[in-house]
Amino acid sequence: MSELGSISGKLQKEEKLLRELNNALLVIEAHALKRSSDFGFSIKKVSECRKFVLDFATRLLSIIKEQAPPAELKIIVEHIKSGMKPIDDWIEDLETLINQIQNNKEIGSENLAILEDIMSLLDSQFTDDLQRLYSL
Amino acid sequence: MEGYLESKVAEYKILLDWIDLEIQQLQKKGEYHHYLIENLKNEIQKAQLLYTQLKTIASINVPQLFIRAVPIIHNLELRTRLATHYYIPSLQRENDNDLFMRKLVLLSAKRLNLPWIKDPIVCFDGPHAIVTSLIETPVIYVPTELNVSLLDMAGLYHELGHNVFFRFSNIENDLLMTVSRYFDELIQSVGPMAPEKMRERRKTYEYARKYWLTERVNEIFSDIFATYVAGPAYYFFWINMALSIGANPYKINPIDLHPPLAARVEACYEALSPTHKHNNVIKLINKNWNAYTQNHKKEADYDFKCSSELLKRIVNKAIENIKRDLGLLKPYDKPLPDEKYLKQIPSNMYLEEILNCATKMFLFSAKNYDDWQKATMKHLRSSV
Repeated sequence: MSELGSISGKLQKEEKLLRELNNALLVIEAHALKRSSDFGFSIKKVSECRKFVLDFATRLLSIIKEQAPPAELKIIVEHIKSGMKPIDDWIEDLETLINQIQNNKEIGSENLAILEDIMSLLDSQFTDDLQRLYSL
Repeated sequence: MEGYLESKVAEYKILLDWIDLEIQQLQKKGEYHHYLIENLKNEIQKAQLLYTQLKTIASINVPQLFIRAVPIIHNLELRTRLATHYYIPSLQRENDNDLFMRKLVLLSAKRLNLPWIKDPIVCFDGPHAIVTSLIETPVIYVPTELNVSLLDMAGLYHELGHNVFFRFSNIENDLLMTVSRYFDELIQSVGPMAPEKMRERRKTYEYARKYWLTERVNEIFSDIFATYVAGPAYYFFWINMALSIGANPYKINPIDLHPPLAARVEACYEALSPTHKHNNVIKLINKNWNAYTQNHKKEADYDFKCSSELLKRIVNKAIENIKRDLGLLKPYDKPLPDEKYLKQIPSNMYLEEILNCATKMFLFSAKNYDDWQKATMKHLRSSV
């Protein structure tokens, strides 16, 4: 029996979070660089993406210390727990990001750094699985 | 990155245009798969949106945004791969045998209360496998011998199990939680011992917990699902395959995303209905399996990673999920037919019943099996 069943479904799930988070960051960053019109992103879209990031960060913050986090965030939580950066620093960064969005402040690159770390982790997991799909 | 991005934009334009054209041709040609083709078109539209973003990033040439192009490229890789390697070739070469098997799958999906499976493609291009990315319209691969072998058809239910696993995300969460709790309990239950030994013990349990990746949990769930719905037919199919592979059933291969053979067999046995656990078919299968396993030694960490207690908990949780999410689905608990009725060609039977008859016939009346199977297959083809 092949691994196609488990890999193809897993990739589809990973792809969704990766695509949505990357899209939110693209919209927010393009807005900050005043390039929204190049992409056709409206102000409403920017606001939706800030909300998406807020919900994501809030959710991550709520499960960061759990022993068995939801499957789609498991890799992020395991990375946070096993990395060099203390878990309290992650919590502080997430709280700062959440506060910035809740107080309608611009999200600077220093606030987005934490999301870039997470994106890179999700992307790396995704490409590992993509390579496995290619090898089947 | 600058020049490379432009090249990727050109590459995806060629691919997406080709996919679009092929889908249009398939749409014109086909009397089946209207739903699947619409589904595929929606997916390709999403890919087109990603392509447009990639093209814009390449054209405005703002270096701060290059980082956003990388995940877009990876997403496009997956989407184009699904279309070009799985969906389009399977649709292009679909023949009468594939369509016959598709009808069987659709009938089983309906009976098993999997109504979201609306428009599968079945492709005789083994081994057993499934592409579950689009759960309503999976691509199911079956080995060529299914044209003549009923026994191997039981493998279909394992593939449907993968589809169920992704349809209900709570199954993955619940099973991973079950595994995690089991190892937590073990860690808590460690009695007083020297700190160094304690650290070692904890490390062993943590290592064992990490063995149970989503993929392995998915595989064992699919075995449990298949046994739950197809009973002894799947149990025999699986043991027959394990015996044919001939590997050490206790071997834990860190690269293989399937749990060890012995753990899967044990989980399947646990998932059998009480009606079947002690019948003569299962007794005969187990006798052969036990004789085989006695010739192999357990690897040192087998009992840590795949203990009977853990497997039992996984099976119970999986069945609890199946009952909750697929309420109308009943376990296969129909008694196997009496030997005197075995030679009859099954009419008015559903596939799981036929496969269970086939299993008993094969094991207890092997000399008559060939003729019986041919006649049964003929009947099956004419009746769907």
